[in-house]
Amino acid sequence: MTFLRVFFVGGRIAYRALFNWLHPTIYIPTMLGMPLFQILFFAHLGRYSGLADDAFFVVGNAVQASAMAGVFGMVMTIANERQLGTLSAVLATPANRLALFCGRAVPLIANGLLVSAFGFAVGLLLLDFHLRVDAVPALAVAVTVTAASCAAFGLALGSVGLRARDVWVGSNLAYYLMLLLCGVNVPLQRLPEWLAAVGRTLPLTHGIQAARQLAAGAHLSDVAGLLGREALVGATYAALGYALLRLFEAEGRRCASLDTL
Amino acid sequence: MTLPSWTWNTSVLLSSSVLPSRSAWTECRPTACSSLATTSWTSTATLAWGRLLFGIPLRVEHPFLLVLAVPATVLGLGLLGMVLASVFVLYRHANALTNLLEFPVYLITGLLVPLALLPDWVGPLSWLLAPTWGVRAIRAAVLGGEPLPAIGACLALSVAYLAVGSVTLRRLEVLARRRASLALT
Repeated sequence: MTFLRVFFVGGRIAYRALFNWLHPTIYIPTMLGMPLFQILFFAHLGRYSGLADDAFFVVGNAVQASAMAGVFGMVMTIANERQLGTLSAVLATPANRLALFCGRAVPLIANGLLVSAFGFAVGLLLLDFHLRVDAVPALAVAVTVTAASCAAFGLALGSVGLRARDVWVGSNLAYYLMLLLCGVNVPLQRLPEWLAAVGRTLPLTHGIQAARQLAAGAHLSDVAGLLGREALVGATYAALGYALLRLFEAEGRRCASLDTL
Repeated sequence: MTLPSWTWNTSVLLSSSVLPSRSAWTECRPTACSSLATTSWTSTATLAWGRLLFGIPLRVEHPFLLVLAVPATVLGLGLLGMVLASVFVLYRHANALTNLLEFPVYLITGLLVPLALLPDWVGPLSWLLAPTWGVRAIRAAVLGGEPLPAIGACLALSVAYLAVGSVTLRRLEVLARRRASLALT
């Protein structure tokens, strides 16, 4: 029972704090405005370059928007504790760490789903993108799996925040690398093989491939393999993130460095 | 995405606001100079990476004019930032808005997508942005063409931004003092 309370209530409170108590003046530009202009920019760039049609960029960027929510959200929920001086208090509690940190991912996954839905709506309303209504539930599954996988990746990146003084450089770099290497706007086949191989080890890559196939008319069973690989990548990062969290927590206690900024 | 550092930004803003009255240019000059240096470095590094790692050919038609065009563009960008910054004094979450402007600026200035592919109303809007002319000047200097008119337009708009920014920065700072909103993080 305590596990569930920490998981859900703690996650909800951390999420509200993440967006300064969900103030629209920060939520709308960050979570809706950015994806809107990103989709428009890359779709127009794609039209000019002739690389692919609008659907390619709408699906890629709409799914990628959930990565932004997951990766940065998880990094911020963990690193902000340190920056705001509340980390010691959080880690002084006997709360289950798995519930404490993984609970924070749930609202971010839900948020990722919402942001992705907004991205698809932008494509439908402003660009040459069409989506069958019966494809929406399967697409929602694909986006949820991808958002969860990205949140797990964010957990791994955020865990470094218990040790490093600055996690923003790393998370910004990871974000732009994902934009480049995960097939969001550049097909993996167009990348040098070694870059494509790196892309396949990142979350988002397989999720976007699955979403593109679903948007083109495939069934959920057709992309089960891709979604399974996306979930596996996410589970690996989640395990890595949790292990790093415990390691850095123990190190931080031993060296009394948890609140060192 | 830029880093969230509202507290730091606000501290700087608050401390600068209690200093004796100075011109906007004096206040922004250190930032402008550091931006110029950073941008010049990142541009050079990007070109070097492109050449060394990906074999992108680099052939500049008018190298001397390129040396003029790049600083003019950076100056235009910096002073456009100053105008925006003056408005952001009133806005608590300026960082979020700054991030939001990244892709529209890419689009409207014709940086990567020709303006002819965008709706007609974007054209006049882009003419008011110094980076539009800066990008044209750099392209003309590199690919061949006449960069001087574009450099002139970029510099003229930069001067206009400086004039507008000087007035708005001072006025909006006074307004923020009156509302006692500078220290809101």
